[in-house]
Amino acid sequence: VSTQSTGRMTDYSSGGIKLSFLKDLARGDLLDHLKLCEGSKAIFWDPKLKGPFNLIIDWQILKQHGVKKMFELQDYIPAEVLENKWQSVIMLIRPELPLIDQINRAVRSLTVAQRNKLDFHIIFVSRKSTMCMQRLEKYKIVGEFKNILELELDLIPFDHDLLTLEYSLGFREMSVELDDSCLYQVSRSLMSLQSYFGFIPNIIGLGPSAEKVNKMIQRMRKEGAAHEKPLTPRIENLVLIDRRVDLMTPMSTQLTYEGLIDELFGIRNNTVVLPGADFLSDAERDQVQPEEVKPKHISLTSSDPIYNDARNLNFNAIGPFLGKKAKQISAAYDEKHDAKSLQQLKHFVSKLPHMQAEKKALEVQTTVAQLVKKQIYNKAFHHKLGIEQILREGIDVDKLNEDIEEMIYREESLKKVLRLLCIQSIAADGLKPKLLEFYKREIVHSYGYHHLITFDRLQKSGLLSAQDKTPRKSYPILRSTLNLTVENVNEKEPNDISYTYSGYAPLTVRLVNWITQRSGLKYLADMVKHLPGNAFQDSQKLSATQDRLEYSDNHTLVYFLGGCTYAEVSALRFLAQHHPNNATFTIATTKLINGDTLLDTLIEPGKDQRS
Amino acid sequence: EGKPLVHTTAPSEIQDSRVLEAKVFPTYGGTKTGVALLTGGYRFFYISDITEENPQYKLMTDIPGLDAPPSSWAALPQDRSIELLVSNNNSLYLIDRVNCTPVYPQRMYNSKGSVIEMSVLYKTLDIALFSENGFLWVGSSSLQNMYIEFDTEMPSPPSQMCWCGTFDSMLDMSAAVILVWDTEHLYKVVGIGMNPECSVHYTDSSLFVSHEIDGARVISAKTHELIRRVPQAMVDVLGVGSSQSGALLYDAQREFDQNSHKANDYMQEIVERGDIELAVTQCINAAACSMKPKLQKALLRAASYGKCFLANDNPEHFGDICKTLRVLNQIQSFRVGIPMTYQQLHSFTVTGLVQRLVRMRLYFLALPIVEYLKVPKGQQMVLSHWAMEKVRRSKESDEEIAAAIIKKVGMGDGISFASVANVAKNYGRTELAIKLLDLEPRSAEQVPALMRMNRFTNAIEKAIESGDMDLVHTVIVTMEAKETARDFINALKDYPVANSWYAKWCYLTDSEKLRDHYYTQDNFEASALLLINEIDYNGMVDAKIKQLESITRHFTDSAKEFETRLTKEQVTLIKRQLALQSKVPDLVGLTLNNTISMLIQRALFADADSLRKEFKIADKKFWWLKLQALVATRNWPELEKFAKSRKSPIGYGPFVKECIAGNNKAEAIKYIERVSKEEQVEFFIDLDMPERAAEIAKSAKSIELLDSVLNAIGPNNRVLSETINSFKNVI
Repeated sequence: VSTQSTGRMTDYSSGGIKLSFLKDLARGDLLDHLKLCEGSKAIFWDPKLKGPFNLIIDWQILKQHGVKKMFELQDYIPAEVLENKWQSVIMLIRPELPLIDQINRAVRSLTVAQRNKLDFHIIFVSRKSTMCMQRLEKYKIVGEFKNILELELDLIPFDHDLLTLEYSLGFREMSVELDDSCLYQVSRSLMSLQSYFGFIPNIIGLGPSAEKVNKMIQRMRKEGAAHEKPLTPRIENLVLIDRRVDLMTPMSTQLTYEGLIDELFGIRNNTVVLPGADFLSDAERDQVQPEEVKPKHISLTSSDPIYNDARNLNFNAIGPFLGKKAKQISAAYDEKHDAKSLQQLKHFVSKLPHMQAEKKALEVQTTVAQLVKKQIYNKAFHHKLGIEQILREGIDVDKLNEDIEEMIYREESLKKVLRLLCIQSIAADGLKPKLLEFYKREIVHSYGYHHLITFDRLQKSGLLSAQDKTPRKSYPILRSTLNLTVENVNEKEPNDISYTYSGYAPLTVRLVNWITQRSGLKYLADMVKHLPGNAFQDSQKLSATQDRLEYSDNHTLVYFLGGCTYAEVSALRFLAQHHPNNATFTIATTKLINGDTLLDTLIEPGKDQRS
Repeated sequence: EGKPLVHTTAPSEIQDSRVLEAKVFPTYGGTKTGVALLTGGYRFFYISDITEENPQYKLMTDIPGLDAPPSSWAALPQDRSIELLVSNNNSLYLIDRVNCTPVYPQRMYNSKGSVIEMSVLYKTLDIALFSENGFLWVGSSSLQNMYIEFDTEMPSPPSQMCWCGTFDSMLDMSAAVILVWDTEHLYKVVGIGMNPECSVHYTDSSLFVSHEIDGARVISAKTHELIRRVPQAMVDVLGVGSSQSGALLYDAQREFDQNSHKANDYMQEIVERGDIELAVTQCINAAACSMKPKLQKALLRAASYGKCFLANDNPEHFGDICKTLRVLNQIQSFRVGIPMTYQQLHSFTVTGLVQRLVRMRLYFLALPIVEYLKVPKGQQMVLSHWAMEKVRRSKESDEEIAAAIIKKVGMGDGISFASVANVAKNYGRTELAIKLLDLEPRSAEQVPALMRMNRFTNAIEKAIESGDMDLVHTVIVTMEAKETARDFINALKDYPVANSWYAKWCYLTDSEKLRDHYYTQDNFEASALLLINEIDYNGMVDAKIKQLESITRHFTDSAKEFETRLTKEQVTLIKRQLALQSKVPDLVGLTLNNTISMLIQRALFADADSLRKEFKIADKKFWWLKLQALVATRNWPELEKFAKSRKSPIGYGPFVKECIAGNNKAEAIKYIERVSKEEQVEFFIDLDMPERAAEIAKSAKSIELLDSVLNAIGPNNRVLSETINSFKNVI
């Protein structure tokens, strides 16, 4: 991780590992696929794919390759496709049955004569599944498709050090449904990464999913043994972390700038959507009607000169940071007056575009920060943080928490209630059965009977649990030995990763720290027995012709199975910056999550709302 | 592999009447093999790829008046189709699928009578025609270009006619046509060039010739000879009086060996020409053309001698040639019996050679060759062929064969155990097949193979191991179709991953099936949860109660006491909601809390109270619900009555808070005295009454509280700030 970056960071490099080529590959593949679909094209997107693809390819390039218009996949083919005599209709989807149903409806919305005028194609991301093909056959529409293609797209580079599968249901699949689909995709993505960066010599895994992935990649390596290319390993360690190892972290409220933006407004595909009115100048505000103001889409990546530095800070450090930046920029503008000679003036002018870009970025980020501030500088938010903190410190976790109880009676947001409840359950290594039943009953009375299903899922996933007869003392031990809760944390000039949660250090990052500083699990033995599933350390043979050579840097790929939070990413970046062995990290995850989005995959919406 | 090809698509004419003659020819640019047939009805058919499973037999047009076998014919493969050249009754016809055109070869002056023998050189599509009067006409197969017309001076038709080498141009006489008169024990070689030459050779037995790209093989009872034009590379170096640099280098090296100073003279000459690299290459190429190890050695020594004079030398070419020659010399030996030139091997490819060797079961030779020449996938090719043969021929036990194969092949070296297993299965050795499949690392091959042998449990196990849920799905679907329901359910029970996937799939496609599935597995809890999912909150009440009752039963059966209780409560709730329907419509479907709120909002306090008792609602909760409901309906008198009814179990802070939230300052202030001073300060700040807050803080004698007021008002309220500071000073 290149952390001390000031200014522009367009180069997608981290510890010498360049990730941007993954985008180029995916883009190339997509264009190759489009070439197989003749003539002018209309693309129908699986809505979940549009965001990720936006990061890979832009509209201009698609236009150059004959794409006339893009639609969200729907139950019919819009008339303009036929009116404009576009030739190819391309459905770009993940292999999910409801989408196949939708395709069926869309195709059948046309008459046979109309269909004959069009070429239909499906592009599956990343694989077509037997299940989907069978469904297409059942509908008897397979013959309608001129091409049924597969587009390999697994890890999408979200930033120079961050890769994600954007697999939304990963956590639910692996922890509730015993479904290995997501882990299989993780394994495939690791194989393809290894085909570029060489086999990673050390693998350290925490949790049951990590073990599964390790088995799968060893197996896949055997399958592909005949085609192995000799490559110098560029990544020294792979750390696989099952999200279930640390559920405390996603349930807690992230307090980094980026984390808070995600908690409050939701970052999707590196973009946050905010009310447009806040971003208008006073003059503009007078001119337009409030209802005409379009929501503002803000791209949040390291290419933004201000955001790149701001994202990883604790929110309490944001005010001073933005102030300092403002001063720097105005000082830079003031240089104009000092510029006496033509030479100096020329130098000043050459810096202008950069300064203007910085100034603009600063304005945007100042507005975003104000919007965040508005949401968090109130009693309710602080009250919530206070409860979180008390529970994480293990205070009275075996008793009924009256604040949570009150929230239930007041029917506050269910996700807020469940996050606190899960924190209590994790901190207590499971709630006393009677206490758990009490909470459950109250939630059913308040939020509905169907949440019995929600509880079933929460318990299967480990987010919520009933205490064993002889209670484990895992959390207190981990908390004290790994120093998870830290008092008097310095938020403005942090010296420890606990700044990311204002006094709580993500367990996952603590573990990564131990692993990368003290060569693996050796010294962690006493601790890992308190984690779910097995912890293991494995080494991969390099290809026969491949020389084991000294690594230019100590680079580690940390792969979160089941999602990771933005604050964890920030914590890992901080770790790299302060690492005694100069470790660098690439972070991969099945999905970027926060407590709310994770719970969204588990909470049963209830049938009345669903239909 | 010696298996007959059976084409069920062959037209009845071929199946019924005899095939008189067949000609094999290359198609699709030499990548495929086609065959043309002449039937007993004197009609021609062809197929363009014999390896195709169900090839289409295409019928050619008829030749007019053809009522006996033609005197000769040949197939001329074109880009996408083929044409036939047929000779009948002194005429030549070119036919395809629609047309039959009489054709006349250019400049055919002396040939008379029918063409009785034809031979096509497929690579360049040239053709040789032998006429009844003994004249040979050679030209392009379009018959538009004549290369030579030559009198063979033989009165009888040849027994065989064959091309020798590949025709490049008229100038260098690169090719020849060989004519064999077997009964006379002789053959003639007619070189094609500006001045055609002919040589006659006699043998002592009958013979057969076959075409090669650089010559022809002449095989008699005792000999196997190669006839070829002396390659230019050899002429360059070894030609008598050649002054090529290669020739000089060859001489230089020999002189050097004899310690003669002449070596220096020759080298001087080459250096002056600036030709060392060329000289080396010429020697290497000459060696490659030679079939005699001794000569190869001499030439290569010369090349390596020349290499000493080269500054930057790329050793690759030299190394490649040496290695290839070693292999060629090996297979030339009588034990193997495949004499081949370098050029032939090049066009045949090493892979082709290895395939031939394994078919001859010369594994001991094929294996070192693939290792030596680093043939891609060569090892796998040899080893899997060996393993298949082992399975086919060995009489040993399954264990022994499997062990032998593992020992030799190792684990996961890329050989397809699935295809070896398939051989075992075809030979009826199922157990061995399963043992071998167990070694197959590619699940996508292993699992379907296990399923073909009806080994579903093995298949599901391996599919789960692979992590590929698509494979798991395929096995489940196949199992469900092939096994009895009972067996299927039982099998799934042992594999939670498969079981869970099946449930998920059913949920998406057919929930009826899922209900049956849980039922047969006695999975009561899952049944209950599934039913909860299916409750239709907008449906008829009776149906809903029925559903809830069966959920209760399922929970009871799975000993879920708490869930049973909750569900029973739910039934009671609906019944009570029904009973209240006359007073408050649309209650059914609300949660318990919402129901109570609704009753309070409608001022039905007695009903709310009876629900409180019936559901044993804790005081605290009830007070919360009532407080919120009264504020929501702005029923302030009732709120006051409620507050005074007895001491609030939730304190009075919530009263203040809710009133503030309900925007009623006056009401809020009513309760404010009943909370702690700290809270009072806070509430007065919330109520935007900082003066009162400051007073309370003063009365509490708390600097901390005063500070919190200061903090809240900010620096603009000078007057109050000073007052507070004076309070602080007092304290």
